[in-house]
Amino acid sequence: MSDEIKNGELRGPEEAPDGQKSSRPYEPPKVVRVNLRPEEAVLGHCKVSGSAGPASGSCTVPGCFVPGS
Amino acid sequence: MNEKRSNANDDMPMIVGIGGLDHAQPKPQPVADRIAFRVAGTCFGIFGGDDTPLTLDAELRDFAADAGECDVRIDARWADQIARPAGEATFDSGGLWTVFHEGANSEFYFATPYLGSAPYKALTIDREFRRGELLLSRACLDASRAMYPLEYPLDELLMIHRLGRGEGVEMHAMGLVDEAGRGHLFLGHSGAGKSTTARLWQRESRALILSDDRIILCERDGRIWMHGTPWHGDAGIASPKSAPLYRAYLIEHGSKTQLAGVSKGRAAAEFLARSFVPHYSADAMAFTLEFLDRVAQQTPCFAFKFLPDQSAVEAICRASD
Repeated sequence: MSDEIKNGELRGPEEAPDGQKSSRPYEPPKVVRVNLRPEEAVLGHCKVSGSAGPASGSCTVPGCFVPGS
Repeated sequence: MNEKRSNANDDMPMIVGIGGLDHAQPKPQPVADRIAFRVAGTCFGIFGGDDTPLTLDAELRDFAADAGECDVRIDARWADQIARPAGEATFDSGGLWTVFHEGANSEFYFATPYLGSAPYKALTIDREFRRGELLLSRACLDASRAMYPLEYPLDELLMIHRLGRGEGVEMHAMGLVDEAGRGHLFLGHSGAGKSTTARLWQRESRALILSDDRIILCERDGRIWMHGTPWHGDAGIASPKSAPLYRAYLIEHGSKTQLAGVSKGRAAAEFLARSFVPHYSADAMAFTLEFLDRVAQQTPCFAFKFLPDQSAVEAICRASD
């Protein structure tokens, strides 16, 4: 973070320490939401219908020959 | 842990990579009492013994290595049955695997409703992920067949735990190397278009595709490198080669092909959402957050909506000139 507190005021990166203005305006931090796919992220499931694990060509678990698993 | 060990320096039967993947007509696989493969510089060796014949999956043939050089050694043996510990799990994936921490070791148990509630295999391994013992349940698996005992998700779990110690991060991504040797990383959840993108680029003789589903990022000499993995997607593309990362794209299908810049902060967050990390490990998460921030700082990142046609290839080529 380039922000700092000076004389009780928050100073952003648009103001250089010597008081000169820099070219980039200050932008406050923003909360960004991103989509998670927890069932994919934890490697918990074989690949079925376009989700989860990679499309491994073999599976040695008897009775579990799901296409693409 | 089993004290009966094979000598890692013994001569091993030669396992040779024999070309690309061919699931329609699988070729007979070499069978051995030890097998090994190398991904992103890390060599995994599996030692079976007389009653546990082993074979590499077709996906791993191009990644075959000498078991005498392994960084991670797994001794596999059969057990009549396997029982889960009674205590509380450290982490439950909600699917195939659960991990417990017992003393200096981690214990991974694998179960599926197809085979009942008892685990069909279990791995005990040290916290550095260097040496482990894998039990295979005779009650659940066919002991008469040669097998690859690190089948999904165990080989990837070993990889992401090794990487989480400070070595890199596995990404949900397709990766390609252009004719200038620059690495392009196309990140996306399942269904975003990684395999579709790979197929579009397969027609380009000037591009080498490293994987259509899993790419490993590591840092070397201050640069981020992308490595191919054997864990492919629907296009079945897997290469052990690597290249320095040049640009990253967050891909999704769109009504027209367009590229738009993404801020570094957003890029780091989107990278994390498309990574495979041991989420229960504070150390691994701390490293991953710091590492992906470095990747975002060094790498231009774009949101890439695309039509599944030549316009998608041309857009990337134009932006890279």
